[in-house]
This record gives sequence, structure tokens and C-alpha cells, in this order.
Amino acid sequence: MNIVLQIFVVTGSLLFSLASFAQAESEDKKTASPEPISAKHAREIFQKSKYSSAKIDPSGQRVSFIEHDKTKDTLMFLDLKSNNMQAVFVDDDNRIKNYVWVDEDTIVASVRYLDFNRSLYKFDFVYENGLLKNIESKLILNNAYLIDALPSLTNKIAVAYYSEDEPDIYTFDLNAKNISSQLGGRHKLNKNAPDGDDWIFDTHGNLKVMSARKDGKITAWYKEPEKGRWIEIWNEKQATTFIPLSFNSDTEELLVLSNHDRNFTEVIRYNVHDKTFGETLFKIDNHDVESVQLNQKRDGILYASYQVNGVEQREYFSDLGSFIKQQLNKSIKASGFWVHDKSLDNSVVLALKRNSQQPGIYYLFETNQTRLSVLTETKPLLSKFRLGKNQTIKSKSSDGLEIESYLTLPADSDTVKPPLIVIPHGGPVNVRASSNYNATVQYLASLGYAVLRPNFRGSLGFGKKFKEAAKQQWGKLIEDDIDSATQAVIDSGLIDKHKICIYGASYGGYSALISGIRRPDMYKCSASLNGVSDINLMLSNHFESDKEDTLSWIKEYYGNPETNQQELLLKSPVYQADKFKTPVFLAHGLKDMVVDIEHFYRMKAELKRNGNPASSLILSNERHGLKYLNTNVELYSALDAFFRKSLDLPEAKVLVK
Amino acid sequence: MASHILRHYLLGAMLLVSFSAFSEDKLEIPKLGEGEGYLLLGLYVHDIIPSKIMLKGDGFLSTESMTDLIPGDQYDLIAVKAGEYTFDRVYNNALLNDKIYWDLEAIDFTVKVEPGTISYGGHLISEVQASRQAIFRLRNRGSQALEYLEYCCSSLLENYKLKYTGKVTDPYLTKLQEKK
Repeated sequence: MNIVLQIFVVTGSLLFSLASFAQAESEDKKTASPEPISAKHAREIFQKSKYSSAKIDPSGQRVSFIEHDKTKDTLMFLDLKSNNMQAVFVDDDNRIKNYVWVDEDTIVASVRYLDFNRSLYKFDFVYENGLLKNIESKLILNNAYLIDALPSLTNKIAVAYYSEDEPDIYTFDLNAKNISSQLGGRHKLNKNAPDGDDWIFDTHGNLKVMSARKDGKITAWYKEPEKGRWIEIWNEKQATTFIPLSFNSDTEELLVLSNHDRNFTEVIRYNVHDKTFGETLFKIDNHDVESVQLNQKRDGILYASYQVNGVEQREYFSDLGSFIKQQLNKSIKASGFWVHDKSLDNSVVLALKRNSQQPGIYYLFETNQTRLSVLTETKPLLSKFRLGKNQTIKSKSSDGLEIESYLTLPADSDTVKPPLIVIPHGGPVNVRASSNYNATVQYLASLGYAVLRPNFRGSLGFGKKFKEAAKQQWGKLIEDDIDSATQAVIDSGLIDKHKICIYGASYGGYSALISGIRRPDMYKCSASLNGVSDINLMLSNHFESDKEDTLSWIKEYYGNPETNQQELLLKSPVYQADKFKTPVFLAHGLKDMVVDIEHFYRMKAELKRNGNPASSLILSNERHGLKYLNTNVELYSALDAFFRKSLDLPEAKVLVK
Repeated sequence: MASHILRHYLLGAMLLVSFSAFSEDKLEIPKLGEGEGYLLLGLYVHDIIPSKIMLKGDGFLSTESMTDLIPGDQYDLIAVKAGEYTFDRVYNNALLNDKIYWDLEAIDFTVKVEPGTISYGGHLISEVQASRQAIFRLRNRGSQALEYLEYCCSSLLENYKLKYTGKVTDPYLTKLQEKK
């Protein structure tokens, strides 16, 4: 119970609480075996957030959140009136994937086991005289996960239940004595339906629209009310965005996010009967709308979000939303505050503040009294470091296309010109860099590096034409974009132009390798994590497993190895390894299913054959992304050593407050 | 009936030691008969080890299998009649009398063996995670397959080329063998 006081404090006493916490962690580390500074720092920066998934119950009287420590996750419950906090569910294997408040007395949680099986648990809170007396937990269904809490219906939820390979969709009454009696063919909502992977329920809790991304296409279906048949309402290549958001059965209106027949993605009405687009509800000049949050009753939009200079912006669709945004910004006198969750009557709001230096601080905002108090920082350990600050860099590529990038300068950059690490993102299409907190960026910045993240052509959020400009531009215009951003930073005089390396993962790894070959004058070393080194090899694996629709998209964006193999070889680092003049670092997940480790073996062998052996690391338990803290520690401490050696930098020193 | 000439397991850091411990002279590599070629099967096992993997193909009188599997990289090199060969089923529990299996037929892991070549259709990557959870995929790891052959039976490579039989040709394998 002591921890209640540490976590739930108002702003004034927060610093003391966090300082105590940080000290405890530091003491703990002293007993462990000594590590290099860069490894110890990675262990702290890449540690999972201490707190996450905070939610407020519909009555606004209780907050729940997941507390993470080294060995377990715990679903916690905090009574706002009494400040009484209690563990609801202790999870030794980090199994809680999602949970919702179904009503003010009930939480339903989806858990996933190590063997990928899933179960649904229900937690009932029993109160006596307003005080929590007991928590009753119950396993309600195996092989199932929650897809919708159906907030407009009492005690009903929608689940995906696996009896065979494809999920069966059901809604059922949580209070029924026999849950399994509500399953089976008679109750199955997607009976005789095509295979979907996203399901939209109307305001009455009826399954109305399904969609699927498969074989390079997006397909959506609508369930007609009379005969219950599923009618195809959309079937186009995935190059055109079509994301169903909500369906109102009273008006028979589907809202979608789409860029059909336009450059930027907008929120648009879609007529499911004549399959036509109608009125645009929201758009923003020169930016894609990237996501939409519905209000709790699902009968309208709470906000739509987009990014400007890499910073998320939200357009609220209700007076309350605008009021909250205005009041939060007025109370804190800073931007970057968002409505994270709220009570049904809007009297209590859980707000989240985040920016490039802060992954999140939860605040409680009582709208009637306009009172704001801090709940907790999600990653309290960060407060002891001097983190980097972001700025936006605009550059013109070789063909005149404007490129937006984010430069993070270390806290000591006013006294010393820092070395620069350029980090191209993966993808290369439908992915983007943003100005949000990023652990890799801040790890490097707090070790004294500047970091540049370009949004080259193909990046998400800049419209369809920008995305399509990336077609077959691997090793060509995409890298020109990245070079233009690097050159703009060099021209600014903010960094040491003689000390620049390039590092990335997946496509970013490819880009780092090919950029090292193209511009040894600019990049003094290249580091690739799970990077593509042989485009032909990548495509050959696609050709073995993908269907024609997917392959046509792949040929359009990457090139066709059947007709144009020579050009693919010219753009593949493996075939150009003799041109490498600078040091190379290679790391690869042994279980990577996206870019097979053969790319690593080929690149490593060719560099060795050409007299430029790479520093290398096989990450034995990892797939395409990094899952384990120890891997991050191993990789990033090795990367720091590689950068320091390649750029002739002094020993690592962490910038602390 | 296919002639099994060689079966190797490659274990991480032990790779070089294992390679150097083998001498091609000690192996009885059968000569290919009329219309025959070598089939090189590559397998990488993550997580739970399958109890056996069944194969089928034009040159097998009965079903062949890869057994005694271990974690990591392993190969079978078989002399077979030219034709099509495929990984058929993966069994994960001999204790259950191998009644439960994953059928790989739908995924079409087919190797087309040509006469007078060493045909390689890619590695089968096996990730059995639980009794009902598994991921199988086919990946071209031609450079690893060639490295294996160079260490285990380089005399074979003096007379026969290793050929990747996937839908897209692999110029890297060709380039590697031209350098020899």
C-alpha cells in the first residue's frame, strides 16, 4: 500500500517521489556486475515503461493501469475518493494485452499466453458503503479475445472466438451463468461471411461492416439488414486507403478514412448501397488524417488526428473536446496534452502529456472544478537524464521534392558540435518518423549524438503522390531525399560535418548500407539492423509465397526480378560490396520472418571477401523488431562502440541532470 | 529408392569445428545414375523440435522423412530421380504416436530436381511453438547451403553446380560458384 502515496501525488511532491524511486533503482544496479556506461544506460533507457494502459471507469471514480516490473505485470485499481489502491490481477508472464471497463463494477481483460493461446478474464468489484470490499475474478472464455466493449449495451461485449483457424464473432451477456451457451452456429455473427480481420458494430451493438487486408487488397463488406447477406462494398488495391470507422444503422451511414480520388486521406461518408463516396467530414491541408477516435457511445467522432512537423494534432468534434483541450493547455501552459480517457458524464478526464522528451505523464482533470493533478509519469527513470530537443528540418531533394525531417540535438550541443547519426525509417512506404518520444533517439542524444530522421518519399502522412513517388526508388531518389536532409543539417552548422554515420532497421538498414556505398564522403560509417542487402533475394522469397495481387503491388513498388533483375542487383549492397570504403556494422534477428538472416550472411561474407570485414551481431531470440531488453542493451552498447571507433569519439558519457 | 549419402547438423559456434571434422573422402557419395540429380534439403528448427518431417516426390517409392532433428541448421543430401519433391507433413510429438501433424502441401514447398545438378529449393524454417501453434516458411538460404557443401563435400561441387530452384533465379549463388 505504500506505493499509493508514491504514485498518486500532485505536482508539487512528484519530484521527491520520483527521485526516491530513481535512487532505489540505482542502488539496485550497484549490486549487479559492472557494465560499460553505454550498456548500463541502454538498460535504463530501453526499460519498459513503469506504468501503462491507464483507464478510467465509466463513473469517473476509479482509475486502472498496468504496472510493469522486471518479472511481472500487475493490473492495478485506484479508488479516487479514498486513494485506496489494490492489485486486480498479477501477471507473471506479461500476458495482459488489452482490458476495458465494461461498467463501473467490471473489467474484462484479454490475456495471451506464451504459446499464443488467449483467454478472457472478468473482474467484478464488490463495494460496501462505497468502499471496495472484494474483487471476484473469473476466467470466462478460452481461445478468445475482446474486439469491442459495446459501450452502448449493458454487460455485453463482442469477442473473436477461435474454434478453428478463422475467428467466430459473438456478442454475449457477461452476467449469463453459462457463457458457452451463447456460442455456436446459431449465435455466430459472421456466419456465412467472408474472412475479415476488422469488425465494425453499430450503435445498437449489431455487427454491420467487416474489412480485410489480404493479397495486396483491401476488401470491405456490409451486412444487409433484411436477409443478413454480406455484400462487398469495397475491393481495391491497398494503394488506396479505405478504413471503415463507424456505422450508424439509423442513417445507414458508414464513415471511412480514405484517399480515394484525392491526394490526402480524409474522413468521408460512404454510401454502402450505391458504393459511392459522399461528403467529407474532415480534412486538413497538405496532411493525411492519420487516425480517428470515436466518442464513447460510438455515435460520433471525438477527434481526428494528424501530424504537423511530426507533432500530433487533434481536431475535436465536440464542445467538450475543445473545452478540455483549451483548459488543459491553459492549466499547464504547454501543448501536447490529450484526452486519454474520460468518464461517461465527462466530469473526470484522464489526460496524457507526451512529447519528444516525455513518453507520457498521466493527469487527472476534474472538468467541473477545472482541477488538474498528476497521476504518474509512465517512465519515471527518464527524469534524471538530459534528453535531446527536436527541431524540424526542411530540404529539397535532387528532383525538387520537399523533405521534412526531425533533428534531435543533444543537451550539450550549445557548447560542442555533436556527431550526427542519420536514421532512415523502415518501410519504406506507409511508415513515418515523428517527433514523439523515441527511446533509440534519446539513448543516442543522451550520449551526445545528434540524430536526424528524414521522412523521405513514401513516408506516411504526406499524401498519396508523395507515397507513389517512392515506387522503385530504392537506392535512388529515396536516398537522394535522405542525403538532402543530411546536407541541410551540415549547412546549418549545428553538427560536426566530419562525424556522420547512418544507421537504420529493415529498409533503414538497406538505406544505411547503400548510402555508405553511394556517399562515403558524407557517411563515415554504416550500421544495419535486420536490413535488406539483396533486393532480388527479398523478392524471390515473396515470389515463393505471395499471391498475384500482392506480387503486382510488390513489382510496382520494388521492381520485377523476372524482367529487370540487373537493375535490382545494381541497387543491392551485396553486389556492390567492393565499393564500400567505410566501416560497417551488421546485426540481425535470427528469427526475423520479414527480412531473412540470409541477407546478413551474404552481406557479411561479401564485405569480408572485399577486405572490409563488418562488426556483426546475431540476435538469437529476436524477430524483425526487438522484443527483449537484454538485446537492446547488447545491440546499442555495441553500436555506440562502433560509432565511437568509426568517428574517433571520446569514451561514452551520459548527459545527466 | 533414394540413397541418403549425408546428413549433417550445424550447431552455431560449433560450425567450423563440425565442418573441419568431416572429410569428403570418408563419405560414400554415390554416383548419379541416368536421369538422376542430387536433392539438397535444408531445415532450420527454432523452438520445439518436430519429431519428423515427411517428404514426398516423384522418385520416392515410399514416403521419406527427416528424423532425429535438432535445433538449428541441418541438411539432407539425397540422390534422386529428376522430378518434383516436396516437404509434406510436420509431426511434433512421437509420444502421441505421430497422430497429429501439420500438412505443408497447401504451402507448396516444391523442389524441382534436374538431372546432373544439386537442386536446392530453399530452407524450410520450422517454428513449432505449442501443440497447435506453428509457423513454417520457405526461405532461400543459398549461401549457407553452398557453404555447407563446400565443407562437407567439396569434390561434389567440382562436378556439379548447386542450383536454386525457386521461381526467381538467384544470381548470387551463380556468382559465388563462378568465383571458385
